[in-house]
Amino acid sequence: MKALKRRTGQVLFALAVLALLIYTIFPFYIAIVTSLQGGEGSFYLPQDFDFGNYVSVFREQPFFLNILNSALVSFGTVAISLLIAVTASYALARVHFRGRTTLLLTVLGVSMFPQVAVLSGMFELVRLLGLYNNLGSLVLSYTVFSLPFSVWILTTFMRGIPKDLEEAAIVDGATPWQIITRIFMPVLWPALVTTGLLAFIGAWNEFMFAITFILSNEQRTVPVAISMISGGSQYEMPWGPIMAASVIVTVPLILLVLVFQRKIVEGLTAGAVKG
Amino acid sequence: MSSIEFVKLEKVYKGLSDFCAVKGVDLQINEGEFVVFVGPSGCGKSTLLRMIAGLEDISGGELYFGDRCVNDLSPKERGIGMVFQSYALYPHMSVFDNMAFGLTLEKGSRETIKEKVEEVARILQIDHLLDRKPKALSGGQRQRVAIGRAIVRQPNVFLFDEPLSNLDASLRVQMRIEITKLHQRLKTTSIYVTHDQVEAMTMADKIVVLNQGRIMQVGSPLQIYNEPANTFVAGFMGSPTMNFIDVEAKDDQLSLRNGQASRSFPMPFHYSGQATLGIRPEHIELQPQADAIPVETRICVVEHLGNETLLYLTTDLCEQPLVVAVSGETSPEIGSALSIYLPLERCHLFDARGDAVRRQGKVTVS
Amino acid sequence: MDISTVSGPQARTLPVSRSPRGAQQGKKTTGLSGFSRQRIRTAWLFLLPMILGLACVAGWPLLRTFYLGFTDSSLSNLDGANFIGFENYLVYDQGEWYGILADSLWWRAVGNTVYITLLSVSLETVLGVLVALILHAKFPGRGLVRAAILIPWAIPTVVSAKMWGWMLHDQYGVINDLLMSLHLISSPVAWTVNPDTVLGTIVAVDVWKTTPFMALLTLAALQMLPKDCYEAARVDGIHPIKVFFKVTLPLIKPALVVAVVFRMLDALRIFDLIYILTSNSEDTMSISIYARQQLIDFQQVGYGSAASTLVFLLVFGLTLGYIFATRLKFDGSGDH
Repeated sequence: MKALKRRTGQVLFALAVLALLIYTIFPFYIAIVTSLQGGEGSFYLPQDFDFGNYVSVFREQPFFLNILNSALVSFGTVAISLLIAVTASYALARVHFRGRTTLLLTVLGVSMFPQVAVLSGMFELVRLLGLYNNLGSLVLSYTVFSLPFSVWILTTFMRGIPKDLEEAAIVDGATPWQIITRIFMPVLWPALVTTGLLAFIGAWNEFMFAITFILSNEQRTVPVAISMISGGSQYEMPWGPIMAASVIVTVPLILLVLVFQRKIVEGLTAGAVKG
Repeated sequence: MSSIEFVKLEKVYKGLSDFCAVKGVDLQINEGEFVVFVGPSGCGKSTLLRMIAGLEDISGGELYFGDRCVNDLSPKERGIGMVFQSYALYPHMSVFDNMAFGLTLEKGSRETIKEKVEEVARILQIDHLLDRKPKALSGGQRQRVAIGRAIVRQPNVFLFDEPLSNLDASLRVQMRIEITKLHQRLKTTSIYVTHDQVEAMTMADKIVVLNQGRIMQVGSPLQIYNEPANTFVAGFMGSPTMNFIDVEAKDDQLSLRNGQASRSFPMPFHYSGQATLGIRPEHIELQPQADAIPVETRICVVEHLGNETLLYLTTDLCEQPLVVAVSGETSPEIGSALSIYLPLERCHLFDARGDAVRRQGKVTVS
Repeated sequence: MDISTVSGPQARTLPVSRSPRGAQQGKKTTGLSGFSRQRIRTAWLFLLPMILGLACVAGWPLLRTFYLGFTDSSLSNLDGANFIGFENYLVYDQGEWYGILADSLWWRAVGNTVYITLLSVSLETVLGVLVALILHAKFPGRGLVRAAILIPWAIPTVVSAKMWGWMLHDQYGVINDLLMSLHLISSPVAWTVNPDTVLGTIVAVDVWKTTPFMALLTLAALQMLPKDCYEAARVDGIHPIKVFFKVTLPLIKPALVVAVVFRMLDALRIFDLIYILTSNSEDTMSISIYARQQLIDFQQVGYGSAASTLVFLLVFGLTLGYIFATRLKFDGSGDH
């Protein structure tokens, strides 16, 4: 009787896991099936493996350029954010000075701005700097949102480094800059990877600034490019190519997630679970 | 190398209510001396050490290395080497790089660095470990590397912050001896912080007993043991701790607060008033003695330590049981009566404030 | 007794005679040594790039947005704007009220946003906790499942909106097909067009995309729970469901509250999903969409900036209210 009850429990649990998996993965499955189909047909099983949609994505718009743009902007954002965040978070995490908590909370506040609140001011700034319709405008605006959040996460990680380690370096005669570059960064590289990953995903996925500051097809990033794929009218959406493009963009992210799953979760947790 | 002098050193932590961790400490440390700061946790010994290192700001007073006031110097400029409780080795560097880190920052030539590191590694017998990462080392080996890192830059002063407390007991004894040997070889002024009185007694040229941010006594290990300046030092140093008995002193006569009748004994102290009599467990005798206070007791607990046996005795002299250390072979029966004798020449007398009363006439031999 | 009799084996040199001490004796110094001051100076130097960057690229634009909200500037005429006070917000002219606060569309957008936020965040909190409980159990392939649920979170919102847009298509969509073959609906539903279903559809897609975030944060909190109180509960034979409500939930509540704040801030500024899924439909307009439409599509920078300012104030106010209501403490100095 007890064994039966346990057995039922196990089956129910397995069903729950299965339902969860279907729930998360089913849309991707449909996207892949659709992207591999020439015309309209059943959407449950791929009937023919037709890569025509994939070819047309690259032929009908500068999609390769779009991917390159996205990569450029994302890496640029990550590099600048990390560079500035590392020194800032060292100061916030390791040095006691007046106004530290206030500064940290301000930084956190900035990362929570609604993007639209800075849109018009940013628009002005971008035009002033001559960055309109230029990828630089995106790096600039993305950094504003990824920097505070990188500082927040890195500060959490830097607090975790034992005090003795830093003091040993001080006694050895290391300057703060040397402590950061020769001790903290090598010790903290997993945290840097985590932070970089989150900043990268954020920049790769951003839409509002990308659609506002960029005009020409050649300068667009991937999310905007996908949103712009259209047919003759609203009722003739080229779903095949759209799904193909979606799959192309998603695959690198899926790989990142599979490889760095633990690190991503670590970063999300470090950034949020406090209080 | 350098002598060190503290002049009215103070440390105040600002906060909602200011906390004073070190209160007006004056101390003279001679060149080449091995000084141990000992005291219960929170007594300010680590704070004092970190003030010497330059890791903690000095709130008041002055600190001199030789003739130079170092209050405003950075740890590097003070020329100190420090060994931390947690070893604090750089986890991503090899043993060699850990030891060489300070030297590379000074931009020394590669050959001299290599020479120095290898020489120190030989002294510490870790020359076969130079390529390993700290992760791959045992606790004792890590401790050696940490010491090596401190030595290699030939500092004026060595600072040890409870360096052995993470090691297990047998290794601790071994490292204790090695640090002592190392000091005899290098003769660098050393300051060693510990809460372990055995370390303090065995290693120090000079012991500084601290409590609540103040110096309780400074002296050689035997001086601290034989002539504790107050009840705190008397109770803190020595294991098992000294027995204390409340007494009344008048006209060189000692009267015990005895249940049956007050009895008086002549004493080698010149003092009148409420006082505390102290005697170490190992100085209590079981055989009748001249010039000793006889006490009738009953055995309540017996602890066999092997080399000695501790007897806990209830008396009507005080509420706490008296502790007596006797030879390891004795094995008395619990509950039986026992007569003990407190030799007056071994007794300490502390006044109402807890300070030791100086002995009159002939000085007892230690 | 003399200390020197017990000193070490080596001969000691006496300390050099010194210059008179105590010139500063008794005088309290400022409390910070030169070294500490130097360290704090360095800290500010290290913070400078961040502070400058944020001030120029976040602080300044925000202030400009506030300012532009009080002008009549337009995209074609950014410089020649006139200060018009609160006219963008509310003005009474010839018997009529004008301005954002008198615009029924704005209030509709506010209503939509609050509706989506409330429904989406509460649904994904419940779902997130459920998923976290599943992932907290030990079973083969757990790591893979955990990675799988991260995928919806990681992909661009644009992509998820497009995928769901296709699945919810009224003629060829897989959802309609499934529901019809299960006889749950008799005829295809235009999920993203029908005013009755469209908000619910947006919430559903948003929940799909953001539940992983909640689940992973909850999971992290679950993994930090002490084991002994569960063992105690098991020894006492308390029913698992009761244990969940009496032990687990109160213990993970602080983490949940923080996660909800993060998600709420995100949901209140919802933009991409609605923009892709339903374009500029008034039925689904959110406050971010409203502001951006005025700003960019209608080129009314002044009016749009005023709307943006309102978005900022709304998000700020609601979040502050929530933080205050739950007495959440963001302790900036806390070590873990």
